[in-house]
Amino acid sequence: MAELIEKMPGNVALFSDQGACLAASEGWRKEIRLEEWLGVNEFKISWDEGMKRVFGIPSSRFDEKIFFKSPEGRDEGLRLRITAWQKRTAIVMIEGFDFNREVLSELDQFKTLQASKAHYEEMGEMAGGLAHEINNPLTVVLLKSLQIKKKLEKQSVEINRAQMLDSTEKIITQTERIAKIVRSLMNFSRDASTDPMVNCQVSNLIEESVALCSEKIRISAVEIRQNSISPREQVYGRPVQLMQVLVNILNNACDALIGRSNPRIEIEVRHAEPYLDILISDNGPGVPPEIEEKIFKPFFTTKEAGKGSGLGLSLSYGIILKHGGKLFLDRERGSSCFVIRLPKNPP
Amino acid sequence: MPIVNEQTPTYDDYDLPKEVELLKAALDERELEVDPAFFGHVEKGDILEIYRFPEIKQIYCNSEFKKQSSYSDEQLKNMPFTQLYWRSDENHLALIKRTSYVMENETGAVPWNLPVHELVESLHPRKRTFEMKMRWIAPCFRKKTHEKVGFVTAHLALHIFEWDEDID
Repeated sequence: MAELIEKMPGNVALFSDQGACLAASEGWRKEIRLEEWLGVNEFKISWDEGMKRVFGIPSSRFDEKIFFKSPEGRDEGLRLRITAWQKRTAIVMIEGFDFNREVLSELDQFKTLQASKAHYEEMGEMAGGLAHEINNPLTVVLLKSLQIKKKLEKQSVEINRAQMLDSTEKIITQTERIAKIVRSLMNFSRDASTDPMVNCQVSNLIEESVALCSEKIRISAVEIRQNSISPREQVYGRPVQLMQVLVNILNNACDALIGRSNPRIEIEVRHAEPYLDILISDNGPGVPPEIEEKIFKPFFTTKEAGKGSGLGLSLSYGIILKHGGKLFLDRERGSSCFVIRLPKNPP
Repeated sequence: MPIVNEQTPTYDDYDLPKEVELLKAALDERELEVDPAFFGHVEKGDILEIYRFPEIKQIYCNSEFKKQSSYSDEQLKNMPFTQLYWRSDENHLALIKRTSYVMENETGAVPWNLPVHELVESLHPRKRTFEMKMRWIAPCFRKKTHEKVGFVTAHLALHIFEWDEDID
């Protein structure tokens, strides 16, 4: 079999269940850069899944189209076919695509699908948590209202004005908090990819994004510090998409801060004409230099399996790029300072 | 109608010396020690707990806590207290800041210095709610190394509210 594989046309190889390449066609040896591609998450996921699926099941086959960026940043589109040969060997065929219009459109559809899937996953995760962030303060609102009612009903009880004021203050604060969360969630749940670009007030974007992360902020016991951001500070963009980016970075920061002493997130703005920078830093462990290059790539995640699609930062990167801005790590300000650089005005 | 309770309990069955002895034994068992003055501040009705820091995970609670809490041992062991309990933002932040301050700067028992506030059991389907009087806190030290690894707390919790049906 090994000899046959070596003589076959195209990109074919024979692999053992231990991952060793036992034989490869000439095409494979010349064109397939498997080791490099295995360093790219979307390729590796399909590869591992295919290998896992076919080993031990005679005649089984795994067939999948994979779209990914090569380590040089080029779009690759491949058909990966893994066929069980014997119990411990599998034939792998990798067929390259030309990037003609049809495939590019398929690639675009795939990317759009992944982006909306990631957005809805994020929203689903958030909505579950935000239900508590609504029901808990609502509990206090009802409790305080009932306490006031009971007091007012008992004519013999002397009304303690200070106590009454305190209760009504709590009702107002908590109702406003609930309203803010609901408003932000309704905004956030729309498909905003075709929204018009407008001048957005940065302080509003931040306030609504923080409200959407309120459950994570609470659970991580994080203190949010903001320098006073003037309502005059504006950027040009799609508010909901920009909130999506802010929420993603804030959520990541909260995750990184779990179990740390004095967890803190600082949000500030800085002018970098003709841009405005929104800086989000935390006092967590930071991004290690060895993964800095990878964090904006799709499917890259440091979270444990099932806790994050690995798409958040890459989608955020794409959104900011489409806004004519830039998303980057500012190493001069520590190892966990993300900068969202956005144009202040229309081009 | 939801349940609103305004009656202060008498704590007739609260055995103060026994609760203090049990807390001392729990600390000994974990090779921890605290400022002995803390034990003198414990009063009838106090919920007594030991928490690990900075994770803020409960490692001991007295019978008064168990009487009032709806959470299982599993939930208490595996979930951060920030997920189990809800306080309004200002009280939540004040509590976190005070805990961090005490852990960084204090060695003995000190008052919590927090206002009376509401605490909601976040994961309780009817949102069991307590009025909290946070009383005393003291850092816990590992006996061998004298390293600060947690804190003990004494506070009163009055069950004041529950919805009349599940809302979560």
